[in-house]
Amino acid sequence: MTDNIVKIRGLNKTFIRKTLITRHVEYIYAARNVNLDIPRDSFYGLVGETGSGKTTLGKLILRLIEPDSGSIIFDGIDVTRLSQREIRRIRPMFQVIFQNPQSALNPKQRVKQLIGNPIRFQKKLDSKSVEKEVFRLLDEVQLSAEMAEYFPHQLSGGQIQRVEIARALGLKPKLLVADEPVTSLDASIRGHILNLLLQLKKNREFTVLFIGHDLHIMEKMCDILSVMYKGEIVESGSVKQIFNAPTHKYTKKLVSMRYISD
Amino acid sequence: MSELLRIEDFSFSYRHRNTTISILKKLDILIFPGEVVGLVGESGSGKSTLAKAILRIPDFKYEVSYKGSIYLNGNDLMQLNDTQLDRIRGNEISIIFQDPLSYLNPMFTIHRQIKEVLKHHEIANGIVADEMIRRCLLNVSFNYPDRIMRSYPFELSGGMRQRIMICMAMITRPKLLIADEVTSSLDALIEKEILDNINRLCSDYGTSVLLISHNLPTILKYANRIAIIYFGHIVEIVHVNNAQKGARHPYTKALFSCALAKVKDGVFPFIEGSIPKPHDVIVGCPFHLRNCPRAIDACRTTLPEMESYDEGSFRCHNPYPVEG
Amino acid sequence: MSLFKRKTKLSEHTGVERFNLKFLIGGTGFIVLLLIAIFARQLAPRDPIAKFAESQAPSLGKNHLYLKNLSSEPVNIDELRIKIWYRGYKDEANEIILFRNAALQPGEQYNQTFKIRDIGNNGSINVKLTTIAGSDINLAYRFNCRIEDTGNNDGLLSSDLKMESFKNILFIKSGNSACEDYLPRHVFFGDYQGCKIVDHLRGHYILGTDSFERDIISRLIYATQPTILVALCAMIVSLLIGVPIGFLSGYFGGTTDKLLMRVSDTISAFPRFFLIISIVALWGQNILLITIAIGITGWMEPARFINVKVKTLIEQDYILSAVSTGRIWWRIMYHDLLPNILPHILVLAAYGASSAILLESTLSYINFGVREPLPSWGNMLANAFGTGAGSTGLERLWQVLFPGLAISIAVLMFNFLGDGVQKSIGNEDE
Repeated sequence: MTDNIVKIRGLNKTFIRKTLITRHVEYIYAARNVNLDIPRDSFYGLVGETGSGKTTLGKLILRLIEPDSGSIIFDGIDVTRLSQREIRRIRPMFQVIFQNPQSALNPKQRVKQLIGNPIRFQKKLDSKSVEKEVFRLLDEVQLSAEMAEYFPHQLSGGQIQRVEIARALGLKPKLLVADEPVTSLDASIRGHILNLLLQLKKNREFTVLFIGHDLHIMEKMCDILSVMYKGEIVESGSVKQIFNAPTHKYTKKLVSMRYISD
Repeated sequence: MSELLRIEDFSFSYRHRNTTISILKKLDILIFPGEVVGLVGESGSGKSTLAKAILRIPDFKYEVSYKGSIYLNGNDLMQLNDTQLDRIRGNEISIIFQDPLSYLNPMFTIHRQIKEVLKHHEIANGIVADEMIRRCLLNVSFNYPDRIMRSYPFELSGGMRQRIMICMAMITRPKLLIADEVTSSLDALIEKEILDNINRLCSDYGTSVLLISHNLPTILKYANRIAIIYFGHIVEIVHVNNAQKGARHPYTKALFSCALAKVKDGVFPFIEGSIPKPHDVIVGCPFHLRNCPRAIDACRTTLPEMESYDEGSFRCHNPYPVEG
Repeated sequence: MSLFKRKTKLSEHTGVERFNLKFLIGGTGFIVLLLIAIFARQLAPRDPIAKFAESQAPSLGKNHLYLKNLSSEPVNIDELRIKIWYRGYKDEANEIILFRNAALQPGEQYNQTFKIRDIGNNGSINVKLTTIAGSDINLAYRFNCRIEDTGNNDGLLSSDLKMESFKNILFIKSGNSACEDYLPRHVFFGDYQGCKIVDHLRGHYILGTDSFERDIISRLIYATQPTILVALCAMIVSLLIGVPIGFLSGYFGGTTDKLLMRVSDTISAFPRFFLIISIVALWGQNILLITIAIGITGWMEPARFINVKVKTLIEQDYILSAVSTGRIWWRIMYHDLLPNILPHILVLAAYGASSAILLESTLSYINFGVREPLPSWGNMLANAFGTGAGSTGLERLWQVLFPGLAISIAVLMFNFLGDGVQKSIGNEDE
């Protein structure tokens, strides 16, 4: 039996949107009876198109959004039943990397604050050891030490993503939710970040939930893949299984659309 | 075969705080009738600027200057005045942008917006126009064109809006369609639908397409020839069948392996360094700064000239040899 | 590549410009106003409350009067006399005829001494200078002086104190028409009703006097004190209330948001001026209360603005990631939200201060704010239409001009400051 770090059972989340003038109520099913098991130390992929609810599922696991019903068991703890105070204590265990480099980092903070503040507030270290840790992390994500003084607007997209990774890893998480970390990056930069993620994954022990839509990348990054469609997990399985023998109609369509390079 | 569009020695720059920032540098592109030319580049390479520069769509923020010439069937577009150009915009050359919502007037119905185009170019009016619109909407795979005609842009989804834009662009049966990142914000399935629509309509009407995208797999699927743009230079123009193996320029090779995620020994391919910003000044070939594997001394000092061979052209001092 | 180089290059490209012209002008203006308010005592040439007459009152005992003909023609003076009333002690008048039927040659000076008696604690002396029979120069009628207790209550003071004011006033009368008044403000307009008055005081009364013969420039300078005090303190009060409310309601949303925003809506529904006047009417009229009244009626706008701003900011990924690191809410507010909202708060502060200045001036104008005789630009405006303000439009304009200009400039400076900060935010957003 495999050890699952995240166990999701019967998770539901519906957003209600009212149209502007007529106040007509629309229901958007972001998660419909989602069951998901993420094995410990795996590289788990979540594929789906815009509006399929994959980002919402990521936020639900992080409990940035409250679910309507269902349970999320993270490392043996039911996250959905914790109070705000309790959840804050275990938040460092699951970290997130966001998609959009423009809004991912606080524009008013320097890189050293961005990476150092979470460590400082969570671990209550003195500023000297925080600084040391920041430089170590910068080195780990292959950024030069002088970047510590930079503001986000002085960094390129790839560098911002590295800072994000450093910020997330500074808290030594057990689960890293990577929400489309390379979608907004250019093709020639993407490889850096993906390699870095793979390398960090090798060096440290943590689980990655990789949310994305680019099948070329997902195929090579992930061990296990889940396909999400309109709030439902339509298919789960190992990468090989999904790509070679898809069962669900939607998955078949998705896999067939890949550009197969020669 | 005579070409439809000939971009010759074309440069584009704008002035910003007493510094001239040149975006496009001496471009040469030919587009033949009925052909789909893909233009691939990374952010800041100037591909969207080219789309707007062909039709001289004004940028009100800066003072811009054009150099060189763009011939459409032998007429230099750069010599035309605004009234003459207005007749060409949307009629002979149509353009579709990435974000359709900002190009559709939110207060008009779809019917009125499309009819406006027909009226402007004096193509049709009244019932004839209505019938044209209906047929065109059917052509872009709307099953109930009458319902679509009555609706407003905000009632439609992103993919539907983009199809409306295609309808608006194609209803005049243009000779050239410029599709500027039309599917960047859309999902793979919708992207396929949209590009299939464009492809089908264009081959029906004999329209050439300049398909601009940063997404190489898309371009590979739909284009006949691919132009790769880097730092305002066209670095290579290559035929799609030959694209992956026969690419001569090192940037093209590197970009292909990056975009298609050709993993070697568990390592994703990437290009060293960062993408140059438009305001950077680079001496020599711009790609030598990114650890070009075939860089020689000449690359650091002089910009290579465009060199043609039978299947395309490239701009490199030390290109990869032709295989086989 | 050095850090500095990179920064400049970036600013060239993105147009980030922290200090623009408007910001510089506004900031300089603000600092100048602040300095004027702090050093008003040193800057003002004289007491803003003291009337001209009082400051120029003849002293007890021996006074000297000098008359000099400054014209190129000889001047005939029929009669010049000084009439002194003693009030309170025993109503009596003492008239001294200085000279009669005299002709002053060009450049000739006439000296005369006269005495003023001490009349004890509770009295006032009116001095009247009369030239021609039947037509007084109403200078003296304004010389309403209170005599302080000098410790010597019996009889005349035979000291050789000089009548400073008279020493300074040299005038020439030409023709027969009456010279009614020659207070310094008229000096500015030169030839006045046939009297050509030359006033050496001109150097001191730069802008002349107002209808109560008080120095306009001194009042203008002193009036910056209540203005700046009200502008800054009211703005701080409104931000101290509004910013936390905006932060809390924006951050927590839901019921908190609804409740706080309904309260702010309800207060906003009343006209602000009415609220201020009600507060002033309830608890009395002093500068502190006015400041607080302007402050606590002005927090709704900042609260609403910050609320919206916070709501958009907490959607940003970096706030979500701060939440996901397990940071407590007040730390998120202080470390992550506040630095991003601070420039907006500065803009709100600048605009709040400028509207506070306007409100304070309006209140003072209707005599609800800073009260006479304390100077404020608002009540200085009001004085221009009071009794004795002068009969001609030019005279009234003279009194409206400077306080009006001062209000406009102060408001403009604060608006510039706000615009400047706003512009640099806008550039950053680009």
